[in-house]
Amino acid sequence: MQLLEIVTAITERHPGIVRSEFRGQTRLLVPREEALDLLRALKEQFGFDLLVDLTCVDYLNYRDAVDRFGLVYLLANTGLLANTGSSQRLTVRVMLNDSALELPSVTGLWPGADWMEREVYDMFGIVFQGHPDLRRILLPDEFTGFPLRKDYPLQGRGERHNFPVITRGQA
Amino acid sequence: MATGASRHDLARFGAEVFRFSPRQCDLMIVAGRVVMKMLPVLQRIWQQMHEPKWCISMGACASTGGVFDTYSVVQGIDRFIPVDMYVPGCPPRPEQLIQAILDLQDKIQREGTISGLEFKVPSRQQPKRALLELPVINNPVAVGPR
Repeated sequence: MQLLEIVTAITERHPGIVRSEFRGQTRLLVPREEALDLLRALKEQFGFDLLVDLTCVDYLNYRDAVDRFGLVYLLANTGLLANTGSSQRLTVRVMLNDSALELPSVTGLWPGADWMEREVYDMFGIVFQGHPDLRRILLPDEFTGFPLRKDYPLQGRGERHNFPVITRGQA
Repeated sequence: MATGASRHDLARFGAEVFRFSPRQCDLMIVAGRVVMKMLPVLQRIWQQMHEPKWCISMGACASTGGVFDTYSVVQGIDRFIPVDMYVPGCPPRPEQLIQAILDLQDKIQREGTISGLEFKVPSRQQPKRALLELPVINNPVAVGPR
């Protein structure tokens, strides 16, 4: 099944999904209620068996942006070689806003989503419902705040200076 | 690494044995960025070292944070642990690190280990021989005003 046929079938089935193209890359903008169903269909029916990346973009103060966060799922079909003309790669975007910063986890579909969702939670504070172990992955556990949000100050809120000072006499 | 390897050969100046346990060390060289998650670890390593002990902050990042002026990077380790010598550079040349170790040896010779009282004799107040014999130190043209 060609990528075009897949996308056409999906947009016919889910009218809420907006499709766009940029430099040969196909993107689907999905409402958050339909996200998990669509991703499951993409994996189980259309053969997108590899979650290449799962990341997030903060569109705060971004030109013409309506929604705050954009979750990006990059999918690929490993049955078709990635570098041939028949390669199938798809970008799925889900927009989120401050009023509801949660989304169903896709760890049940792609186990590799585990650490990616933890990183998105760590940096942006987006909660993935149903994640088996949603803890911070990079920052220390006692860290407060989500530093990759655009409203987080670049130089932090003092966490880099919040340590005891060891003097020569103490050591 | 280059400093200890054969081309620059730190062993010529009486400092070679690298140990990877803090309990066997008397000099800690902090090279590179220290992020806030690792600073408690660095402080623990420093506290595990036995007296007498010294610390060299090697490079712009360890000394000041360098270009990494972000929430996660400590802006100079001397804010939280004592530092004896600072090595500038990004990255420092091996010669600079050797110079820092020689200067530290000179400092130890003059000031002693903990209280310094045992070294307060005139014969110990001379600069270290290696510093006098290195031509670049005694050459004001090469070094400039100090």
